Amino acid sequence: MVKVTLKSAEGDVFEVDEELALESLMVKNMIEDVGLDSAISLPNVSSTILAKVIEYIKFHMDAQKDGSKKTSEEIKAFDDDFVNVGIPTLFEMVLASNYLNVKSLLSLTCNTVANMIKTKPPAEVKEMFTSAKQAKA
Amino acid sequence: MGAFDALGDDLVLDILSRLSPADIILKAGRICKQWHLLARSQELREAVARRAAGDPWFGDLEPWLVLQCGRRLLLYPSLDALLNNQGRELDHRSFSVGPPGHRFCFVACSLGLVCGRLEDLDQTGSEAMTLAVGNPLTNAWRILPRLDVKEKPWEYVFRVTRSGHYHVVVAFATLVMDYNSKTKDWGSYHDPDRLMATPYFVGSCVEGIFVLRVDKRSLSWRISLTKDQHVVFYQDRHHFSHEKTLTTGMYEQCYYQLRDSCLSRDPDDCDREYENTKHGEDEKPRVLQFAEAKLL
Repeated sequence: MVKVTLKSAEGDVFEVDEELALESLMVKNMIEDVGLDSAISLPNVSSTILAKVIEYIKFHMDAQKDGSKKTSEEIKAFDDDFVNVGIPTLFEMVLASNYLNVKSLLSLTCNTVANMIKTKPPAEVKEMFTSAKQAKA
Repeated sequence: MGAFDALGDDLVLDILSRLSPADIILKAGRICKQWHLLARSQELREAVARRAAGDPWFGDLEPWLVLQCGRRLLLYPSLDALLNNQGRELDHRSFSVGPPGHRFCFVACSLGLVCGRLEDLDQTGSEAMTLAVGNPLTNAWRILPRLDVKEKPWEYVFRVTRSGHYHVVVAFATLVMDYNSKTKDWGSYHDPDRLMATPYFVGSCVEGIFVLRVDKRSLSWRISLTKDQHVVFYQDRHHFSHEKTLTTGMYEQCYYQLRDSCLSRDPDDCDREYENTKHGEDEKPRVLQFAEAKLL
């Protein structure tokens, strides 16, 4: 199995299967342009987030394989758990999935933000976002 | 990297386009300046229309309703909430209705647009009045030509038609004035019965009783609001099948009824749509197609 080396913003190196890396259309284009010889540098994605994105793609690839025992409930449970993070992390995942061009993850994370807004009263929505902003500053 | 500020406009639009108009304006639009501006942008209307076109299940037709009682504004996100009296209070200051700089007094509503009198333009000792039509969610307003009739108006009817233009009808004791957004001017009738019998009759106020009709697919509800109670009729196509009386305190004015189509509604869009059909163009703007689909 061909391996692809991905390098996060902090310089941490992640070695993944080529099949997995190709799920990111951005990485796919990079591989087509520069080949597999050198590590692919992703200066916009931190190590924590990149690890999460890889975890997400891996789970969904396994779930789609023939002979996979995973039920749609299990997949949904994984997704729910996956996005059960704070607003700052969620926003970073939105940005990373947009940058890496992983459509399913972008859709999942944007939907999660939308659902947070939907289910909370106006004052809490505002507070949730402001406190996330202050935490960042 | 500050993730919060780094969400570009296209990502914020992606998130906003997944929300209902009420959530967009009342919640997401208050998060920060960028979200506030995007919540009122033409880009968002297009994004919502694209999403609706791609997903036939998008957008529940559940109506929502804002009532004013005294100084308070109450939002009912669904008909169920209205029946169970589970209104949520809105902040009056941040949710003003009417063209900026005018004192707006609600008279009628239809499918996302509201109509009201601009009281500050009334002259003392004269019955002349000025009405305005607008979309309270996008804050787009049009002030109608001044209406100078030497009688007291007793009923207002406002309706948005399937084709997207609207009528404002003001009934006086002896005649009926009809504003048509096609001609952008007032016409007069002397036969009010014909107008009152229209099947698309949507909202009116007769002697302090406010009547609203909310159509949902094949069903329709008629809600009558009086000063100290509101009576809700649940009506199917042919007969009244349910009647319920609730005591809910003082409702002095019934504000408006809004639906998922309302973000795509604009007092000026209505005319644009008309101009397109007038010139025989087959391709209508996408946003209006969306609005029409929601009108059923």
